Amino acid sequence: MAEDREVLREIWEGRIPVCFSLAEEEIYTGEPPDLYYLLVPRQIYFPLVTDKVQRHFIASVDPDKHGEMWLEYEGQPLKWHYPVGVLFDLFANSNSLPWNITVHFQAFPEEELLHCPAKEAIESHFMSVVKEADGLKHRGQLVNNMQKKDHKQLWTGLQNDKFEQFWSVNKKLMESSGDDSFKYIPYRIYQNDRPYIQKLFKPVSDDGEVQTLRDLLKTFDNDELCFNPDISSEKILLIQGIQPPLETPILWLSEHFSYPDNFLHICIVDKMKNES
Amino acid sequence: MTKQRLLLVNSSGDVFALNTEKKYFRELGKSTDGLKLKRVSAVEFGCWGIGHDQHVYVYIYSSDVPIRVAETTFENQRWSPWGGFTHKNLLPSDRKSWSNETGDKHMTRNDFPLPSEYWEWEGDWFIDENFKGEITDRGGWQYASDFPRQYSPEPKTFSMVRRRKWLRFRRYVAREKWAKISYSDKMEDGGTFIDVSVGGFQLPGQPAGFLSIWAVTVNGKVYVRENVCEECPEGTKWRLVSTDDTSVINISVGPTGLVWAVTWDGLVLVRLGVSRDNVYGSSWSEIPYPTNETRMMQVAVGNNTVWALSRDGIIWFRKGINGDNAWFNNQSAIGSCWIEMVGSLCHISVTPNDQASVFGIGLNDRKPYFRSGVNTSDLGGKTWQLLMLREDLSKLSHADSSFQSLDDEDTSSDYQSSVSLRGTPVSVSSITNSKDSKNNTMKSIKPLKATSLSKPDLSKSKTETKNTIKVSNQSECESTKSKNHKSMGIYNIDSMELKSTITMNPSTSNISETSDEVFTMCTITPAMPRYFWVWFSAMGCYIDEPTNVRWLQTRRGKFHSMYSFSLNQNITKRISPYIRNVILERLYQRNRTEIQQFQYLENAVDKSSWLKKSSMKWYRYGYRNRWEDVTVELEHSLQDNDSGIITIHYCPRGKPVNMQISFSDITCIKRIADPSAQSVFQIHTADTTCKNQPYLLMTSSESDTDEWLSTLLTANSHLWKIKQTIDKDSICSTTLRGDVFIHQPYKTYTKPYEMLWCQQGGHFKRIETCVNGITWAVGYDHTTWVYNQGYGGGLFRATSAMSKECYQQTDTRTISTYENQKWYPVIGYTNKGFLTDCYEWSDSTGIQDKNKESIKLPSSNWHWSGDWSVDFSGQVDQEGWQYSGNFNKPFHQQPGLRDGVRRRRWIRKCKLNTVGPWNKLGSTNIKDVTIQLDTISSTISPVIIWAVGSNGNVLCRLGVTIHNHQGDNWIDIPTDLPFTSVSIGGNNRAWGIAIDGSVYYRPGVTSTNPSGQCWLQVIPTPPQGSTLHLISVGETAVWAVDTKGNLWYREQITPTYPEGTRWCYVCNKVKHVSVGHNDEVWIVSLPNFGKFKHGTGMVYKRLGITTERPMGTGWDRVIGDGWQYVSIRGYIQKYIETEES
Repeated sequence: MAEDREVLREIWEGRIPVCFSLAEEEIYTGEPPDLYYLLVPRQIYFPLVTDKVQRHFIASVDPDKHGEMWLEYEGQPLKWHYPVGVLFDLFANSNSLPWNITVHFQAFPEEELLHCPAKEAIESHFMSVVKEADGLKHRGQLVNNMQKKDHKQLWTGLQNDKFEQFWSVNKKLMESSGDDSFKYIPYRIYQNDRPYIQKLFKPVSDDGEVQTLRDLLKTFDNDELCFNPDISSEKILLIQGIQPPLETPILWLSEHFSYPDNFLHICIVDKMKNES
Repeated sequence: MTKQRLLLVNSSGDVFALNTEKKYFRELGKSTDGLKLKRVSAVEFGCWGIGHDQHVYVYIYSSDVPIRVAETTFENQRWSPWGGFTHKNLLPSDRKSWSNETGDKHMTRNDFPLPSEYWEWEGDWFIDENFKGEITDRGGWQYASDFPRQYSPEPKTFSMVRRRKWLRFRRYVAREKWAKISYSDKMEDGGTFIDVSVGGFQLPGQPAGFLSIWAVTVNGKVYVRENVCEECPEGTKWRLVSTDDTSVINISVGPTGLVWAVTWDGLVLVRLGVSRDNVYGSSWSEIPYPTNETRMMQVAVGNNTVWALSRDGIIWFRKGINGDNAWFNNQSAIGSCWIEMVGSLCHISVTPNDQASVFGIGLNDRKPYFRSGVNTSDLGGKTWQLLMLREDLSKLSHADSSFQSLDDEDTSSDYQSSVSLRGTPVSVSSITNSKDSKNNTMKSIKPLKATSLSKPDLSKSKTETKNTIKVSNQSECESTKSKNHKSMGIYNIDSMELKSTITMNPSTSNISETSDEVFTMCTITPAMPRYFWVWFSAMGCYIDEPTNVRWLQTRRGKFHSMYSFSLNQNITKRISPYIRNVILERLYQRNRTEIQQFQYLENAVDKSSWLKKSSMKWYRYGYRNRWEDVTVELEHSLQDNDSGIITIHYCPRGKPVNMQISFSDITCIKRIADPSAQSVFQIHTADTTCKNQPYLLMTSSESDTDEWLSTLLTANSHLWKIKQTIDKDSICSTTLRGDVFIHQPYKTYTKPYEMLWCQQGGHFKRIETCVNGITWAVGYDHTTWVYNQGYGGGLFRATSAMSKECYQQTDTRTISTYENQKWYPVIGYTNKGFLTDCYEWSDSTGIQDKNKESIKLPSSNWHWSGDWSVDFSGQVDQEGWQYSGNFNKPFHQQPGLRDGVRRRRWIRKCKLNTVGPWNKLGSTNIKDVTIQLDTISSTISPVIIWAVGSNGNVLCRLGVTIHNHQGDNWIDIPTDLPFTSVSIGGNNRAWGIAIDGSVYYRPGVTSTNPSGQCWLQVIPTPPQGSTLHLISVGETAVWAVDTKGNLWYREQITPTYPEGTRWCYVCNKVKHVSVGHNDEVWIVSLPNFGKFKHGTGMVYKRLGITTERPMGTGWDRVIGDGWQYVSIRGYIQKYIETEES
């Protein structure tokens, strides 16, 4: 069970300062609108917090042409159904703070992004990912046995950035003692310009060894994964914005470093150029 | 708890100690004459060893409490009309003019020689004028009508004889030194020993610090050292224990006094009949060989385990040993059968308890191992793991020259071996290797692993290395031999060990493994004679939780040895604290870089309020007290920290009713003390405290309660100043559960029952504080803890926002229950069918049912350490029974004719692991502490802290300032009697109470002379034979509590007459008193104090204390019940209260 509240708390408290600006070609009023700054929780999804952004910029765009709002960073459309922290780790780095995101209301990239019609869509997406994670961890037993109000609390806890509220339910999903120990680790590995990869991976090997992050990475071939922990490469591995030691037990990581959707989102990214 | 050490002896005869709290081992201080030790046997406070000269030595660790023994003798006189009182008048039938107390021995003051060269007199003989708490007439004389009669301090009409007591103290001065144990010339072996073993410290009914010490001489004779105890660390004499012509070569004593030995022929013997009255047993019994050809070499006895090694290095585990039962049952001492274990060792040693209890030295690789997975249910353990041993190299430079020279030889042999290795990529790291050479080793190994160079070559070179060791070892052995022409026996053993060295098979030791060793530990390889171990002793190393000991970790990977501190114990089971700290540090770093400079930005998510709701039970007071189902709702605004409300929804007679408690009204939230009601918590408000009817709420489980308490406290943290260092002038208290509650005063005056009490992390019995901001606390196990200016812990868990400077704290409680039996004709004593006047299991009064099996831990944070055992301390018989006519009468040791019932006490220890803003202070255990009341004059001036050690010594802490709350060291303040309580009041007037209730005053305490001048006895004692046991001194006033719970006030204390005139009775049913500034008095009461009806532990404040009426007039309720201890010595009331009833 996830017990280390200090770690959980620090992860939860992760925020990314974002500077929203309207795409230049969409400025209709002539005068570019003011930039809009927000401190966005890493665990959350963008559409949950961008209402204000939309209200701020909507006056400056052509009312006839504007469609659904979407976000873009350095030419890369940002998928709303990834947690903010994952998007940041994948595309930006701490040298580019605040994170300059361009807001678009036109030319929705249909082939790259999903539409987000309403908050309910995010909720159902979130819950389906949670269920998928629990399917891997506990064959879906825990999430199915939960009451509707627990599901609601999980969602509102995330939506309102309430740690206690969220974790008082989520801790049940993170139960891993006794019979409820994780069957498989729910994780996804993201690499630039490739679809994410995931495989079945047990937290404890068949011969009883506790598996570490390194063991997880070893299950992939070199062509699947452009990151080899034994050879120093141009790539680094980020979870929740930090590089965890590869010796960290994977079960502990899954319990503590998973995003609210209960998945461990592992990002393999280029080493920052201006970093040593 | 004292320090727990594993002792290690290397082949050069140096002894090292490895503390369970440290990462590294250190060399034990050496005597100046270059004594080398062959083997040692350690216990908690010292160790015994065999020196290179084959004599037995004892080494007592340093401690702040001296070993101090009082010698007493009595001077007797008889009165006659012509000469008055003189010894010349003593009748022939009388005792001699100088005698012991009973008068049957003639003892002049010159008949007390010092026991050995390791003792010194503290001063000359002096007359003890204290007589049962009173001061005797001139010259310390006590009078009586005849000799074995009642004495009185003044002469009476019929006083025909008198006597006085002379006292002289001697002190053991050979601490931190190897003290040679004397032997008598009559011993046929000339006092040359080959083995010694120490144990028996758990034997009941022995003097404090008793040890059972067994030794073997070169001729195979077995001796015991008699009368070894705390006051006599060397014992008095050797006594031969017959072994019926068999010669013993190895012996081992367990903590319960169980003795096993190995004979010259490899046969194992066990000593039967060891009991509390016959500590050295009565007869030997032979244990059959495990297999026909197996001959034993060594045995090691633990609490419930016996391990043995046969000559071929095979490890044997003896099944069915039960040390606690061995006193009654021979089968428990003998066990049932041998079990062969995996692995091979050349030496084995066990700890006194059953957790992580076995250490050994590998037969082939000579590496240190420990047995992992040993616990009470699996005494055999799981696997042998390498012990991570690293020396504290910072200390190494202090090693004396004799070591250096020895080491030089060794390094030269190393050098040779590395020369012979030149050309191969392996280099042998030596003791002198610097960081560079380590790196070289690492670098040179890497290519080796990658390319897997020719293996035979390497193993060959390894053999060469080992050969050099062997040679050096052999030469050392020979030198020992030449020193001791008689030491045939020891040579035999040593050569056997050598044989095992010779049988080392180089092909089994894997090269890659060795290089791993070099890589991870850098300092330890067999090639280094300094770490070439020959002997361990773990008997002084009580390991409770192997996961907390840094050098006992079984995890793989290079993070092994890099252990650091962890907050939550459960985490250590899953993740190494080192990795956790790395991760946490990176998370902090992440949040710093990403958030810190952007904090002014608008938060993406609005946080308005937070609601928590759950169903509970609520205790409704009234005509019919009962638990009622309610729904409790917490609404709390996150923006404005001060506002929040708890709503209790309930339905009396079907109508829904709401009751609201505003956060600002709550004065205290706490758990109740009853361990069987863990899910109940109390909410106090000023009103409910007045009525003594706090809100009682019961959640569905203990963890639910934890969560609610944590949430409530977090929500209220701002109002209650939880997230800050405790203010200097706070009032500190502990509850019966051991929780710490602090009242931090406000700017304005509040009524006592309006005071806020909030919880801090930690678990203590006592807590003392002062205006200078120094706070000390004493745990149930008498460990001392010092407040470190942090906050949080305990309930708040490890949330970074709510805690600062929180460290792990442990505490131990002893839980007891009585087993009761009644005598019936024919059947005898039985517990069957007599439950008419008492329960089968009960508390000490016999009134409450307390079944051993149903006793619960104080909370789920506690765990049992050890099993139930009979308490043999005090006046009890062989099996722990006490007898009496019936359960209401006092109990005595031996059954009498009229006795119809008997009982015995069972005890079980339990342990708590918690976190709190406290640092542990040393290893000296104390039972009371007091901090100076006066404000210090400058920030560098010392603060006076006195304490009473757990054995009654009065101690004074030196070096305490507001920059160093822990101080530097203790010094002993000599007393004639053990003390129970001390207190330092205004102007540093120190008062203390001795164990017999006599009160002492010590003038002359100043910041430059913190230990004062001398003890002056304060008379008279309180009337009615009350025995005082607790004292508290305010600015001027002195208050005390006696053992019956009566509160006393010392009258007429003036600057010229600081002792006052007499004790004045105030009231009864008082548990604890604390007197502070302005002579304010607070007490913690026993149940039903005064005319009030309530449980135990209510805190009251004395009202109406004025110059005219210094005793005060009445009491005002503060908080309660459930409190245990309060200290108001840091509290200065803001302004004078108005007179109130």
